[in-house]
Amino acid sequence: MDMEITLLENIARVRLKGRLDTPGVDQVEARFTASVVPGGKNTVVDLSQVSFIASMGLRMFIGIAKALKRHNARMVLFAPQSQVNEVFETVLLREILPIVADEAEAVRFAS
Amino acid sequence: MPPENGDNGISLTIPSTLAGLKEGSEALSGWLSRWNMGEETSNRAHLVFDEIVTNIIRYAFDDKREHRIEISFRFGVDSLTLSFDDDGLPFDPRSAPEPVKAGSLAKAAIGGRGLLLVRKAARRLEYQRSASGLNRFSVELARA
Repeated sequence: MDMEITLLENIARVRLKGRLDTPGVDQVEARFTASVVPGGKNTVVDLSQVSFIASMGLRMFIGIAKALKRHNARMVLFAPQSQVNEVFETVLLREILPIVADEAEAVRFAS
Repeated sequence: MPPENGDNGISLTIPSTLAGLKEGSEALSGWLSRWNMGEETSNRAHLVFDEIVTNIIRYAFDDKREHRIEISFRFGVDSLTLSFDDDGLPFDPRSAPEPVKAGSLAKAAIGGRGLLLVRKAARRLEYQRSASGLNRFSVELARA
């Protein structure tokens, strides 16, 4: 699992690449959290290169989004692939987190 | 332990650790690709594997000891079955309550969605607690 975090002026952009199964989440969760939560950064997450997600990936996103909310910041996910989108639909994630089509929309939503 | 190959399946034993989960996941990948299972079937099999083994590692044991999890994968004419044996606390995953619909981030629980994903992916679920104290949970998937 690879992760690239770019800190822009008011927004953190997180690009994930690989599989968000339990081992994948274990590789990135601590650094992801430490990079965005303490500063209360609005965060957009690029899922276009995430081919697979399991519930530990959902747990990571919801946990970080809740922590950001305590800092009055928000997380927006964008560009999920088919398996990832199917899992999001199954657990009704759109009721909990904004999920949009592309980065421009995500940035607008997060700003 | 290296997988044992049969005509239509394999079985292996992994430790109840993250390293064991990775070992089993790699064995599953190899088996699925050897039999040319499609992407949809492979994704569902990996989802079930990750959810069940993660649950066993996190919740099945009330001690710090490393346990063994016995796993088998086998396919039928139109199905794929994953079975998991562990010596943890008795737990029938079919009896786990459905997660409450949250409706908002503030009300949402952080976790508790794994077994919902397994139920949605599966065609049939079976659970047995053996006289010798083993949980056996089997998940049958339809082959796409």
